Amino acid sequence: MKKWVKKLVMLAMTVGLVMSSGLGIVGISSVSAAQSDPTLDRIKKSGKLVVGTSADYAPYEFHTTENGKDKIVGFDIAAAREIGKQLGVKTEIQEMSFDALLGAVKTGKVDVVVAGMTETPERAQEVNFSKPYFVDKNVVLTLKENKDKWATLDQLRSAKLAAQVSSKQDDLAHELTDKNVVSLKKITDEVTQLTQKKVDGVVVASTTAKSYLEQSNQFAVSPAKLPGISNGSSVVMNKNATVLQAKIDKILDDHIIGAPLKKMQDDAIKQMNKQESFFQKYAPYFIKGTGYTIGLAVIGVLFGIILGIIFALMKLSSVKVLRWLAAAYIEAVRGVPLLIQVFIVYFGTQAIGLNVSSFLAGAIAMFLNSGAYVAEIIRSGIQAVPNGQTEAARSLGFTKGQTMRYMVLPQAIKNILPALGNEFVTVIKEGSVVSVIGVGELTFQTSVVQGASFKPFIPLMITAVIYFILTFGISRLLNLFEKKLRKSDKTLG
Amino acid sequence: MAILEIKDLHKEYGGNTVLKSINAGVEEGDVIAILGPSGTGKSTLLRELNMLEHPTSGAVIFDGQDITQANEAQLDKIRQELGMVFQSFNLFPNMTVLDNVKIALVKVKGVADSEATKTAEKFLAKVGVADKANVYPASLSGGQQQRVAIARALAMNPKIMLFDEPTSALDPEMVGEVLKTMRELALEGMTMLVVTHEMGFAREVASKIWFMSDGEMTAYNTPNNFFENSDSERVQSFLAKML
Repeated sequence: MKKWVKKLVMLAMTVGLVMSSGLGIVGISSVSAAQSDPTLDRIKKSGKLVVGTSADYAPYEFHTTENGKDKIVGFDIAAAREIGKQLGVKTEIQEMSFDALLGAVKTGKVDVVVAGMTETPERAQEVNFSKPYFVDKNVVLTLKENKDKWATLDQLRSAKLAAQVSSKQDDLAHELTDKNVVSLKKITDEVTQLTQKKVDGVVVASTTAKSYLEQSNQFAVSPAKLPGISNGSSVVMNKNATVLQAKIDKILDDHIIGAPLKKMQDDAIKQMNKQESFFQKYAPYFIKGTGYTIGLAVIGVLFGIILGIIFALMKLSSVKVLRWLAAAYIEAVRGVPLLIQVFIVYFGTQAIGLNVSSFLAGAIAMFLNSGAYVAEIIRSGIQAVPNGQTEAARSLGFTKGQTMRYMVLPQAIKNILPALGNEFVTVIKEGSVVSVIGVGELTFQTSVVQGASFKPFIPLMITAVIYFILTFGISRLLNLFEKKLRKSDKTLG
Repeated sequence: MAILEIKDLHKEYGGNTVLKSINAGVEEGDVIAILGPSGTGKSTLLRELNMLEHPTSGAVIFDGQDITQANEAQLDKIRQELGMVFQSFNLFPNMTVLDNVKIALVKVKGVADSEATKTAEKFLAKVGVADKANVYPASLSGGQQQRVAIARALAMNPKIMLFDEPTSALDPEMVGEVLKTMRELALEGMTMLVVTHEMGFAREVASKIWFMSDGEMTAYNTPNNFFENSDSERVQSFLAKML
């Protein structure tokens, strides 16, 4: 749901951008080009600096929980907030994957990117870079027990390395090794692969490596001297943001580079190594995931019911074409795994030019799937009402429609409701499938926690318990409800 | 004049001939027992008289109209005149006994609720289940349920009552109370067609007998002609099994 809201916000901002650039044209004579640029105009107009980042790069930017609330922190974020403060606007952080950041700044979805991003010739053609505010070198993070195995560049040539997808470290990893590089979206995933010995080393910035070393004594840094020495982290902005760039360079010089940044880094590392119980730290992920899971199931079943009623009526209709269409849909949906359907909806909508968020795509796939099952539940519920009921009603002079309304449907609902409840339970469990397209439901959050906590098993158990509580709780409720239905049958009739 | 006329009625089910050219007439006040071995088309014939099943060919003339040619809306009207009682009662389990009898009056005939209640209570009293008006059908015995079903059909003030094996699904001790209700109805002059295996009822209450065998029907003008004087081999062997 949040992603969906994000999409809306982005859309609104794009519209805002178009409008403000339109206004810019009108105002061209009064505002000199040297005093402002479209990005700066937008920032001033909205009163906020929208900062894009990929918050999985501790201690640059990462998630933490403060008073039970999920927050993005890190020294990049502290620097970004300082820039916002100096520009006299609020700072808003928007998270997305690292490889989406450049696109976001180019299309104006964000004003600047602060994500430890390094200038390269390719990137410089697309966007503008501020002066580097922090220079960091790259290292290969490895396991302590293998430190000697990967001590030289020669040895590293046969190492299996991981790096963040489309990062500078990714390019470096390709240079270092002859083997295939594992390119993952999240550093936490890369480090998990390292601890599970699926890769031999992870190419990261030394600051990041340092924080992992402080977190656990199982890691070590390869002493090999890597080529291509340094990464200067810069603030990234749109090509048109020339005035903004000058302003930011000045802010960096006056308020960030040097002692202030050092303090920001110390604070960030402190925050990163904050002693917190597993539960305190990760409960918000499970809560959020559970919310998404329930939301998906509710949408899936509610819209599934609407779709199901339509298909059930089609299947019971006297028009052959409708019957055939409904039967074809139901058989097709029931004959294809939900996983494949999720992918078809996700990539299919993209292919026909609709940019649908992963949550929306997941929800659509869920209800398209559920609709077929609900249709069968409703159809069999209606057909389970004895034909004698229809005959008795028709022999009294009731029309077809009246018979359906007064005799068949009220009796069918008693058959349908319990089965619908079971479908709800099924949908809650099947929702885990949509984690494949990045919907932040329970199963997805579980893998996030697995990665961030370096604990592969405990998060799984917690998730299993949450699923069980949800499904068992619902089937208990349904049982009570069914009993009540049956009881009313007995006492009243 | 015949209130109902059956002309050359045929029925085929997927190549099987169930009814072969049935011709018959029903006079007002007739009580016709439709007898015959199982599977010879008795129920099929009855169900074609109110178009719950459509004949393959032939005509059913009711009140001067061929109802095999009537459209759905006309049939809804015609069926109000043809009360039907089923073997398995088919009371509506989601309604009280009173509502079972009332609902068609209110929703089909458009009778005011209070008047429908009065009518329903009258017919429930007539069949002897007035005290059960406010319970649901499931708590009634089979005999009581069937009597409610009769009251439900009667409340519509039909011209003919069709009974499709009304006592076949009942425990033996319940058969008597239902037959008694039907006997009273016959004595009041109701035109009735009754598919039944109750030979006693047929002999004592029916005014005519229709004997069905292999999709063919023979009409007997009096029970006596059927039970005592028929020299048909089929009738003889049927009676030998039944009596």
